[in-house]
Amino acid sequence: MQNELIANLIDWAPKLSSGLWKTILLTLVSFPIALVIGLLLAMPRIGKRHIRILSIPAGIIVEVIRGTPLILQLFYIYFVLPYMGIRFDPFQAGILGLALNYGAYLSEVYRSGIEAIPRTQWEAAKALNMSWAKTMRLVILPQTLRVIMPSLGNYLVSLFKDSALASTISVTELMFAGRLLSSDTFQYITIYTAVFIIYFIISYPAMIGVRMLEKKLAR
Amino acid sequence: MATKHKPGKETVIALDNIHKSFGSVEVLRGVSLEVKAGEVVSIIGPSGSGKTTLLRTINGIETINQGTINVKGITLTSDASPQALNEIHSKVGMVFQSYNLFPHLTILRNITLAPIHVNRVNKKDAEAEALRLLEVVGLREKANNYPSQLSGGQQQRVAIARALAMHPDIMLFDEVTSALDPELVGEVLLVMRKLAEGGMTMILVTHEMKFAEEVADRVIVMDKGVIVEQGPAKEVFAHPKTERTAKFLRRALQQDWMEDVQDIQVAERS
Repeated sequence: MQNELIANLIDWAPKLSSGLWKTILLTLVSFPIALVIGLLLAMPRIGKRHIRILSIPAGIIVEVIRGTPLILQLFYIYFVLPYMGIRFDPFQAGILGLALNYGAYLSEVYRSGIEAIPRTQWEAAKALNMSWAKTMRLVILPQTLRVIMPSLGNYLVSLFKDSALASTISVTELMFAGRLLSSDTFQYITIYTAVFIIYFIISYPAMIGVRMLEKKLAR
Repeated sequence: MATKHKPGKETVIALDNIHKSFGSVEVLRGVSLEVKAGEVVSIIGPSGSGKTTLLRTINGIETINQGTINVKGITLTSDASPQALNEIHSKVGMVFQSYNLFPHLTILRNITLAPIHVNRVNKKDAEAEALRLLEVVGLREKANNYPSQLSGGQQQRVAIARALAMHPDIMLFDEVTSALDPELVGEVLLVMRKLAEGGMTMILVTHEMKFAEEVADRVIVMDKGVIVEQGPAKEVFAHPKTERTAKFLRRALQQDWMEDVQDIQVAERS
């Protein structure tokens, strides 16, 4: 029985590990994109008057994304956009969906982080004749990033777990590999338990890391 | 006592009938003021008199509702262009009550940031200049520390060096010693005195009556958004022309500046 289990696991290992690799890739590619999207969505809402006009579309995008399920957004990108002539392979659609969704949430993180920086920092930079963009880049954002680092870490862990939803649009990531294997072998208990453990042994240390970072920055 | 410098003849700041409101509250109600090159002007007055707001309008941090500001040939009105504001910022340095150093940067980087990124000075020259300025304010050895590792007085001296690194023609000081522990006030005032003796045009909002008396060429008393009195410190302190000034001075000089009162009395007798 035990030998059989080990033999099975060795058998499944290539599929599970290639699934895990895809999951990690999905996370590590979509997160940086989400960071950029988040920043772009946050800027108009805190910016000067002339880019404030963009705050309405940016606000709408954020609210629509936050107000609908991630799985629906993935379906929309993968199944609906092709009718409008925009076609993605599953992996691309997964990246786009996750990056947009997390970008919307991260924009709120940036926004509250930037707003937490005292107004006097802006004034000091202004008195030194620094432009809005330079103040943002050299004075405000570096301080903001320090403040929001733990939040970003939490969202990264969260994204890693949510990437499992990409299995619904047939991205061959860990969850998808688990589903495929279990429907082939009917070994639901062992396979889903293995998948369970794999997700946890990656997110748990990451969560501890975020907590340590939080403590370090709080000093 | 410090030897006083001689202010020049050239008018570098001319404020004409400045009005400024926050919402329905009119903070400045028609202020006109001229400052000559090299002159040191102290603005005093009860809190809420509009003195800080007045100072902030001079470098365009606060916009005005009415009137004109002329600084070294640049004119600001209620609808100032971004270019005019940039030119003003580059000519006028400002030091704040709460220092406002950039906490994520070392002292050296605090000072070189704007010269490098705004004035396009190369890094080496900017750092050499920053170290020279740190020498002037007596903090060269702190170049690689972060602001949080410095005392309030030290941070304020760095803030002065940071403003000077942009080579302003005029320096504004907004209650720069008010947030400091009493024993740290002296070191900051010393730097400011050196600056005044070097011929810098300075306008300061202050509660330091002694400093106003010893260093400032002129004291301006504000109340309820207007200038109620101005003249040499000794004259204003000793013979206030209006009852309002007299009342304010009595209170200001009595409360925390008993020592200063004695100094003034000594000065009067001699």
